[in-house]
Amino acid sequence: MRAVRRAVADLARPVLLTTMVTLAMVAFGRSFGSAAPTPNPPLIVPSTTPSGQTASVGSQGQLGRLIYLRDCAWCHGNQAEGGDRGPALIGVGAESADFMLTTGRMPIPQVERQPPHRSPRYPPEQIDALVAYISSLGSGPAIPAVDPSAGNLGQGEDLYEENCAACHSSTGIGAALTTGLEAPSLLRSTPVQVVEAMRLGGAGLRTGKMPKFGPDVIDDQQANSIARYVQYLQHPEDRGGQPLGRVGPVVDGFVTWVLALAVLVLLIRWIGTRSRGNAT
Amino acid sequence: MASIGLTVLYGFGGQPQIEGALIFVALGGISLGLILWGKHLMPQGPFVEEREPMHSSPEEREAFALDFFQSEEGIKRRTFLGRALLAALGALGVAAIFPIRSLGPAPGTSLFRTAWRKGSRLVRSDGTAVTAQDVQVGGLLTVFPEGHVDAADSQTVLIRVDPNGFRPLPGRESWSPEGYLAYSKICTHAGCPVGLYEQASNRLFCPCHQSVFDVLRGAEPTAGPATRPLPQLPLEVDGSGYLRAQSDFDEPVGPGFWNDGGNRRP
Amino acid sequence: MITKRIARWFDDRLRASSFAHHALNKVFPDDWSFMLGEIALYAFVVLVLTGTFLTFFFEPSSRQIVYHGSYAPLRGVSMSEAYASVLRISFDVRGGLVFRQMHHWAADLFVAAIVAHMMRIFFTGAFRRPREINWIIGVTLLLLGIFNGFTGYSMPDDLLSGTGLRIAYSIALSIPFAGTWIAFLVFGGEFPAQDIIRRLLIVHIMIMPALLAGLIVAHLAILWHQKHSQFPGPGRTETNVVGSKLFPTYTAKSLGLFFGITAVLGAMGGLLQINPVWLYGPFKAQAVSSPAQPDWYLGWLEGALRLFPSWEIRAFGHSIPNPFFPAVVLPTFTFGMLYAWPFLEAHFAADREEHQLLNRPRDHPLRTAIGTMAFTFYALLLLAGSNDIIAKALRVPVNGVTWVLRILALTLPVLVALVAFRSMKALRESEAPGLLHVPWSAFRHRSQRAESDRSKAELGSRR
Repeated sequence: MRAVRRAVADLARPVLLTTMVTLAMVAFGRSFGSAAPTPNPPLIVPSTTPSGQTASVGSQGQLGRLIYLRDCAWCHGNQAEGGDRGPALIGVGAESADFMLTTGRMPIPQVERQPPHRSPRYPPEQIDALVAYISSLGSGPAIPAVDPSAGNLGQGEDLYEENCAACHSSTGIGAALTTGLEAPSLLRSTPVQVVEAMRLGGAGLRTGKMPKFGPDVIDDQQANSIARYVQYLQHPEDRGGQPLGRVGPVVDGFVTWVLALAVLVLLIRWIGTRSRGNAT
Repeated sequence: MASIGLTVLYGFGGQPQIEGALIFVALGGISLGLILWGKHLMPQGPFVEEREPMHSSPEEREAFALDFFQSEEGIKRRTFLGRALLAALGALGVAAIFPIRSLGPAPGTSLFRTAWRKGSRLVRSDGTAVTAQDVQVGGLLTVFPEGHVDAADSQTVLIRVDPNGFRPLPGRESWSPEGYLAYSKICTHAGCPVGLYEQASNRLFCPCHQSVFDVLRGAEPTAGPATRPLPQLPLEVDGSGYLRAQSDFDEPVGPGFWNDGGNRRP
Repeated sequence: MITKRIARWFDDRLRASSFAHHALNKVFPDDWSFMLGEIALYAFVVLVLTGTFLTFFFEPSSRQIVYHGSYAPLRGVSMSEAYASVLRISFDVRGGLVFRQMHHWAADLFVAAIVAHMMRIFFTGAFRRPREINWIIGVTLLLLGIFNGFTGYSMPDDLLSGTGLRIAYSIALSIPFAGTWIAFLVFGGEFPAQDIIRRLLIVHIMIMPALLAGLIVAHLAILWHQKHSQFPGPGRTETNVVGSKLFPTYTAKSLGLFFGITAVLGAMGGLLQINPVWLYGPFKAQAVSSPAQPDWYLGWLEGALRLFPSWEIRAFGHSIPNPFFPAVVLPTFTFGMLYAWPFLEAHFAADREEHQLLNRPRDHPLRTAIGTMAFTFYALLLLAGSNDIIAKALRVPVNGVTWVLRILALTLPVLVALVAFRSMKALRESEAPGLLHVPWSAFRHRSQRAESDRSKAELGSRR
């Protein structure tokens, strides 16, 4: 009986340690899994214009112009003619404006080489107003009509691997490019944003920039398929368990050493030490 | 108990996470039991065992030497037989080369040539031909020679740059109609597809070992371990607007090898 | 009673009682660090068990088919039969995915445990006479383990493994004189050749496991015959072994360890996703994914390929391409040094005596310094194998990361070796129980002690 009680006491420490390490690892893995960056606080607080007031300003374009003058004209100029800090927006079209605003890449307080995908700074109706204003400045491509449900998942996979995976990774987590640029993660992109990026050639400002995939390279039906596959990648079938960030073998190796081997070393240390009662 | 659970689950078709957890519980339980048993309920010692030296006694060595070398003498005396045996074994070794030879074809000129020929149309991986209107400035497309979409060594990146600001390399003035540039997609370092294209800076980037190639300067490597530019495919536009190759690449594509011509264009 | 009768039945036919008596009473030292090798051994057992299961369902064929299986996102996509069979294992075969993931984790663990075991052997001097043969076998096991890990990684024919094979082919091509022939004979033609998956399977499930199992048996037989080395301590001498008896105590513990390892691998196989090939997609010659890395045990080689500057030799119409230096010369040198180490040390330390008692790392500061230097170097190479992931995480240029790691790989190991050397010396001289207990003075008064130290060392080696 004493032996059993000793055994239980002896057992407590390694079991506790192992549990703690395992929990820590799972927490770590979880944080890797949801690698999406936390949304930054909005730079420009639009709430100074309560929604009740916005309606009274007038037409949508009028509201768009007001927001434009308040937040965008600093860099893009009062007539959207462009300046040292920002390109002209006359004729860029609704597509470009919508992409930059819905991915939170605009507005930015200072010129960034590669503004990352953030939460949008404006509520949807203000974005619509700004987009309407920008597209009224000159003719440009409209927001593409995207219907992922009309796409074919298998075709999307095929096209994604051939055209997108090289930069954005097979699992959509994004990857590094040259000189500090990166192909961003697609795990937060909406289907419309995906197709906008393909047609526009991404969002990089003056350097980098993804290649353009025009309708003669990838037609609208194929674009729907790709958008559908990207949607799938945002919630893929992780049949194997905790996805460990879907980064690949680097994380696996880390887990092997830091979790598996560490737990087993604790185990052999426990096996290898003499129990206190029997110590000589 | 966990084992029974495992059996039941298996019967129902299985679910990996629960299976893993049950394996852990079942085997972990056995493991803990055995270890606790070993640590607490079994004789602990410490026991001491003597060890003998790791070498034999002189007499034993002597006896072995006697056995071995005497017989060796016997073999040596029959010199002719010994030599015949060696010759036979040698011949067998030579004969063994032939089965090994069957493992693969001779390299021959296959590494120097691809499936591109004079006049090959450029096609997408689904086999459709590419016209000079298809790719926008800043666009990218992977192309193959018509009829050879599964020829891995012929894969080529077709890039369209703004022809206004672009000055082709000397000797290649006629290779890039309407700003179309075609380079072998196989990295000259370790053979990965160089599929990452930054269109504003006109750089191609290899994801395997981070070599960077400058598209506007003949795909010259500018960073990373690659030493040679990507070979360029000379292009032309035919009467119906299709893009065609003027010839095969003028140098071997892909990673270097011993007899690759060594003094390829620097 | 039945046991007794069975025992007699066997003894009547084998006369095994005397051997069994000795075997059961064999004494094993109790130190935990001696069980690192056992982790590798049991990981190998798990590999064989899970691998056998997987072999029943794997189809080693490059023939292209169109998938119509139960994983919806790939329906209608053309892929090799090999890849389709891996999808079947992962989605349709009962327990298939758990076994596949256990197999992969076990492979990662197998090599990791071998490396940990080897470091223990190295830093305690357990490779010295009479154990050089077992060191050589152990290094061979590491080499074969890495190689077989790579063949296994390559077999599913997904986009990631295809990239690995492509690099292996390029490395084979880079060998002077015979490179093109070697690459063509191994791969069965110009990459991507049709035969390679079948060949990988034969190597992976027949040749390599047979070699590994044979060498493991030899490794254990020699260990059995030579008996374990042990740390110095009260009652422990060069002519005895102190510890637990094989039966029943050590058997129970060791079996417990086996079940423990299998339990951990089972949990990982079920709960932690590894190599989700269905997300990587089937191999296509013109496609690639980024980031692309091999499993960790080849990460150092990948890192070397990434760090090595853009140099190559070109002369007289011939060339020795860039990958030859980091991917052929470096591993040859690495394993050459590992094989040669026991003999180099015996030669330079003029110590050819038999050793049954182990060193502590401090007893041999130079060896410890060289070991930590090598360890740091290869750890940095491993890190360099993920330079693009580091660059993305830190939002800095990849090229900058590469340059920093190039410089670190050449300087940090030396620095670490110096620190290790000085601290081991200080530890030894101050006779403190641990590094944190060493007084500062022990680090400073090196020059005065150096002379007496050298004479002590000489004395020691003469003895």
